[in-house]
Amino acid sequence: MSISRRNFLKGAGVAGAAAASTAVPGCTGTRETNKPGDGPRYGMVIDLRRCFGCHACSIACKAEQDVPLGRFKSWVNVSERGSYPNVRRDFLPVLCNHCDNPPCVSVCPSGATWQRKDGVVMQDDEICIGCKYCIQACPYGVRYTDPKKKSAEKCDFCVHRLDQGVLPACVNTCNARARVFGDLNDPDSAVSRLLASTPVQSLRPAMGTDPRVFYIGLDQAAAKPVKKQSSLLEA
Amino acid sequence: MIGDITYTVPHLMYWDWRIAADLFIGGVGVGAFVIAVLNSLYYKDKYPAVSKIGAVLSPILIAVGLLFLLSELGHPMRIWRTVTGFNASSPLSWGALFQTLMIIVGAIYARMWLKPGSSKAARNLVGIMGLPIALIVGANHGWLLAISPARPLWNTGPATITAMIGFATTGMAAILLLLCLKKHKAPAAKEPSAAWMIQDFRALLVGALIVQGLTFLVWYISLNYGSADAQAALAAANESYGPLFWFVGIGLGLIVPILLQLSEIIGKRDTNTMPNVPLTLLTVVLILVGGYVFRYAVVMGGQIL
Repeated sequence: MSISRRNFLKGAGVAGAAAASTAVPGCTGTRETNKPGDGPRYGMVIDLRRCFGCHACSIACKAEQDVPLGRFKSWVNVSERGSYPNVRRDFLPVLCNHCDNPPCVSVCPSGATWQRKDGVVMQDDEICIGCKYCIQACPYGVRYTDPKKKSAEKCDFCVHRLDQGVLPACVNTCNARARVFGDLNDPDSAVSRLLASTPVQSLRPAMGTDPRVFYIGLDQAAAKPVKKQSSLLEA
Repeated sequence: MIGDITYTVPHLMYWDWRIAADLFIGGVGVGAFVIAVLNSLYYKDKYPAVSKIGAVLSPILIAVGLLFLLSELGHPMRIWRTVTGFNASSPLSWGALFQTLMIIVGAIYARMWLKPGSSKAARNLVGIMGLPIALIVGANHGWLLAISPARPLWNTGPATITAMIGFATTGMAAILLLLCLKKHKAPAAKEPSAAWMIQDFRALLVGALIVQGLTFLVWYISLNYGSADAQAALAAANESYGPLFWFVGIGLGLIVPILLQLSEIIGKRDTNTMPNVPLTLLTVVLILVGGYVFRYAVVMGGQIL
């Protein structure tokens, strides 16, 4: 059977349109978080004036989330700068920023990374293909691959606790009460009141990710990205 | 002592040489397809061996590239999730779709070249339809890296253009490599014009290499005189992969091939003189080795900061 050029192009066009129409409904790139009045939008403020670098948050996170050895979902960077006697030591607790514009969600090819209406960026290790693209896209270096599960992992604000009305483990355990967590859409929440009364900063604002973890007293010089060693390849 | 020390948790490099191999080998396949189709259309099958080699190489190389990518995945058997969970904003989703399409179209095109009596018009039509797909796959390989502001070394427009032209040059080099080897195996037999093909394509190759060098220069300038993040990323990448990148990727893979072939082209203005096949062989091997090293250094160096 001979196929004319016109019929061939027509057939190809129909096939392309059919492929596009089946692809678009499955599209996982769109995301909408709750606006004020619609429901909660969770966020955190970390008051660096209170943090004294005890690492209790790192330990609590490890225990709560069963984080494997050598990997962290939340930790504290300690930086020392200056020359004696003018030296300065900063503590910078780091965790997923649960951004309003999360690049990890944008680049995930399988929909394993997604965002709840309350703003929590989730990771489904049953869907993750382990491409590590989300790790490359995150400007904060807060993602890793689990050596056993072979899928990407990250902080999820302890949603299993949140859904039971309990605070995330790191917030609950902070001795200095440096971490304040709550609903950013509720003007009466502790976190909203703190944001309204105190100037805050966020990590790497130029990345355009709109983080929802804020810091009080952040020195941007202490928050610069960490240089990786080329010898530290994932096993 | 003036110090600036950060104590932190281990930060790992997550992508290894296999990602560079996927980008490189898949890119060579894309380039080979484009050259095969353009040769067929432009020279009107004057050099069928070029198109035939390019057409057969293309789907094989793209599939091999995909295998390297799959070997890098934590869960390669879940690759179907990229279809059910298609994410329109992810270059990897589009890459998986178009790379698969490219293998199918490339295989059909190769079959048409290998099957005796295939319609030339239908073959050219498949080739023309495959061209935009090939260009999308080529651009996707650059776009995949360039999209992320978190990686300033990759996050530039020229990175995509350099990647695309790199595919054309390495694709051309792969075809020329097989032509050179073919000539050595059967010096006077079926393809007496192989040497002349090399001569014609050599000039095109040098032109493409020069354009590639210029786009790389734009990329380098945009980093070297860019934001503080871009400058820091360039410095960090240079510290770890600089010697490999500059000496092998740029020196041996780009500058030496241009000089070797320019000397040959300028030295032999008479187009009736037989081209220096061993020299061309050396050139294309250098281009292919340099092409891989270039991509390896960029993929690895870009992850440092």
